[in-house]
Amino acid sequence: MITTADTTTARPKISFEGIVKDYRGFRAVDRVSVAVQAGELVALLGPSGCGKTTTLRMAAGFIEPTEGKIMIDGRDVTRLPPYKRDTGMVFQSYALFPHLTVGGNMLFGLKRRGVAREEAERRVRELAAMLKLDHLLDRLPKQLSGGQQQRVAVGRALVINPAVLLLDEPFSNLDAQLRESTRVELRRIQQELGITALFVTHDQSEAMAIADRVAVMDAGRLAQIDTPERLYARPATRFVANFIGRANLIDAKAAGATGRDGLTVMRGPGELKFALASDTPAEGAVVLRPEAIRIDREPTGAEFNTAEATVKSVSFLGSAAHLALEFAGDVTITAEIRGSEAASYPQGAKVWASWDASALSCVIN
Amino acid sequence: MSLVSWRSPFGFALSLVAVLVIAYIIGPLIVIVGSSVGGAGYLSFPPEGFSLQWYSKLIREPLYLNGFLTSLRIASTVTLLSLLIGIPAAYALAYRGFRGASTLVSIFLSPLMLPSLVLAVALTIFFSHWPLTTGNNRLVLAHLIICIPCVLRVTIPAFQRLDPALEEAALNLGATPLKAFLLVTLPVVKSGFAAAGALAFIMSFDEFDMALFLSDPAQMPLTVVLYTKAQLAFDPTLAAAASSLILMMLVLMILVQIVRMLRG
Amino acid sequence: MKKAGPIILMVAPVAIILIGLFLMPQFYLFRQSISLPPPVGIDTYLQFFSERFYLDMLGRTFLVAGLVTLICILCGFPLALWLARIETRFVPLLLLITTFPLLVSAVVRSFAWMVLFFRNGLLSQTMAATGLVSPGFQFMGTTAGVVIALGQVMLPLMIITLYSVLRTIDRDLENAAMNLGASPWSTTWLVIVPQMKGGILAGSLLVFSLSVGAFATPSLIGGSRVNMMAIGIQEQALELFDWPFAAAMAMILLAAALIIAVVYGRIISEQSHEPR
Repeated sequence: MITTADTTTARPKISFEGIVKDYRGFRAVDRVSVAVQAGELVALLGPSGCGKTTTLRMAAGFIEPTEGKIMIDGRDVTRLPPYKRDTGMVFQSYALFPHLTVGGNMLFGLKRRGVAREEAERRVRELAAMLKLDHLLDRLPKQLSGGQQQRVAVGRALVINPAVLLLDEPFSNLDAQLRESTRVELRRIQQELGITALFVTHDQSEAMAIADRVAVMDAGRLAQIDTPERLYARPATRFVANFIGRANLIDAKAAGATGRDGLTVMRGPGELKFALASDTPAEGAVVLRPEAIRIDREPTGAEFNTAEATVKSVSFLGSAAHLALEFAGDVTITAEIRGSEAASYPQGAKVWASWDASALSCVIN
Repeated sequence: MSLVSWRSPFGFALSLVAVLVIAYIIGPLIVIVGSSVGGAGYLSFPPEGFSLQWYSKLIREPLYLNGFLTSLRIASTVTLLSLLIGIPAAYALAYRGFRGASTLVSIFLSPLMLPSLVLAVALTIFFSHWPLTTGNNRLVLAHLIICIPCVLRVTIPAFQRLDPALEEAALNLGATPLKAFLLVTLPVVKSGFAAAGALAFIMSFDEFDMALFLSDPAQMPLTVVLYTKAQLAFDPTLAAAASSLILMMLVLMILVQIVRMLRG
Repeated sequence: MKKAGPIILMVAPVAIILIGLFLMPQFYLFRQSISLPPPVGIDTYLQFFSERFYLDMLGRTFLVAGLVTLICILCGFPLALWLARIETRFVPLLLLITTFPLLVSAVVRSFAWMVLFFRNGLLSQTMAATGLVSPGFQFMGTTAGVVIALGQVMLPLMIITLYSVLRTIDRDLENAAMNLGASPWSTTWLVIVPQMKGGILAGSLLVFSLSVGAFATPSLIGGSRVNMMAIGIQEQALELFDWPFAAAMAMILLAAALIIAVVYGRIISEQSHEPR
């Protein structure tokens, strides 16, 4: 896997430089800059209407940006028509040509590139074997299952060996079980072939599961781009904190530092006092993940990062349970505990909640 | 329980009415085919005896055959022209970025809403001022006015149903816009073209009002021949001719259905 | 990728043909109709609207079209409902049978009715035998005959219209009504019919406007004994060669059809905008 550290110097495979897309009075994409390194899989993640699909379609050349530049392999492709760009796209609807067989679909791009018949067929057979499609080459798309159609769409885009593979919600038409196995499979092939890929999704767990880096988009802007782990641990904005996983956001103000540890202190409502390891703004919201909260019957005695609460409600989810904890100052925080422990904390119980300083981060309001 | 279940009095009554209405719709056609194979010297239903005498007379009557061939010629020309003119327009009108397309479409479809007899009178007067062409070519032009809208009505939805991602996929794989249209769009919507062509052909072939006014009296289309004959005398040969037409359309329809089923 | 230029180029031939062969002829039709007395006058229209005979003709044309529309609603709705709701694999076949007559020319279909309508035809004989009509009665040359035959010619169009609307109605609405205790009769009347209003109106206007201008069927079944506009126009033009008067009558028919077409267009666009 390629880490972010050793790619900063290499030339990106595809990069967006200050991309803007305006539609009559509406800015769909606002100054987005993203660079994807060779062999990297980057997910564009965000709710519908955030501009992620527009960004992807600008990479393919279906939409022309209002401002900014798109570079592929160091070449400016911003004004190039789609058929002169070296991208392979997997469409949400797959867009398999219904009148062509699986083989015909996969050969389509190679023919346009003038690849010799024998060479083209050899490449189709090779890739088809890798995608477990070799026995389906003579079938028409409508004779295939949804999962098979999806693999054909991926195969058709990959067989031309594009500089960048573009995927537009490629798993959204599959049922939940198939979705998980298919994305693992796609990730395996992408890594095996060392393909650079840009992948659009609204499903944060999907993005986290297979992407090297995730670019979170919000209202046309790039909110944050980082590895899944860092996005989760150190969200940059309220939006990212809420969109990636579950988060409690508690408004707080800076209140000096702790003595020995040198941690920053932030005061929340009521008795809540947070001690954070990271830099903090004067005013913001503390991000506290539900699973970072420990519950005890007795006070821990510490000054910071602990408080007394009342269990307002319990939702049992099987392996886990969610407790809604009410703190003084009318703050409610969700805590996640093991499902087996749910019975120990009935509704109305008085408990002590505590968390580690390292589990906290802070976002500006 | 379904609304139309046989067991409820309502369902029973509805089924009964439905069967009677189907009989009303299809009955006359059965009657004419039945009476055409009668053995008597006049038209009757139910037929008295069985004989193909009227069919053998029909074949020996050049008027019908000529009419049939004339209609075939006119309808084929009209179909070809309607498709050539209508399909590019339909493609443009179905394009999503074309503002005002829906207004244009309703204007283009308006000839289908007006009585063809009025169009026939108008065109006869028009051609007397502007003799653009002569003979049955006038009828071909007249039929274009109703057959092009027909082609538009069938092919615009066919183009609209087309997943725009298909053309984009072709472009993405390196096809130029022209190649994308020829290699992907056309093959995918060609069944729509076939339907449009069939409809245009049948419309022209079956059309009578304009044919009566505009056709060449020396080269009458079949519908005009049948009409003239039906007014003059009640000739059983006419029943044989009408039945032949009905059976021809039936065979055509069955063929279309078989092709459809084979395609899945 | 697609620019205005090619779009105009692709649409232009249709526009040219429709302007040249559809709008221009209508202009010449109008010009011809106001050519009496020369150079310009409206004698033709004055004559039409002052003579009882022609007013009757207009009235009878609307009467026939109205009755045909009524037949199409009364026969078309039950059949369309039945076709849309029965559960059998023969529905496609039944639909084909129902719409097949559309493939056959109106001339041929009218001829089929002539066989039934003549004095010795099956229908006339059956009706005479049951005592409904006096022996020797025939439908040929009667308004009733024209209505019956034209109804059969138009019915498939009504059924197609109603069937396609019925298929879009959520069947759970009926199931909900019956679950709440409504009988099939009241379910149809209270739940289905109200949702079908637009469809019935659209189908009716279609049938009505086509019936107003229909020529082949009225001419073959009714002939000159049934006083209808289309027959009158054809007689004036092709038998009496009074083209100005034929043109004026055609203009009046055109005006009627145009009004119906505009109303039809309104209803169709309202239907498509209406959230269901």
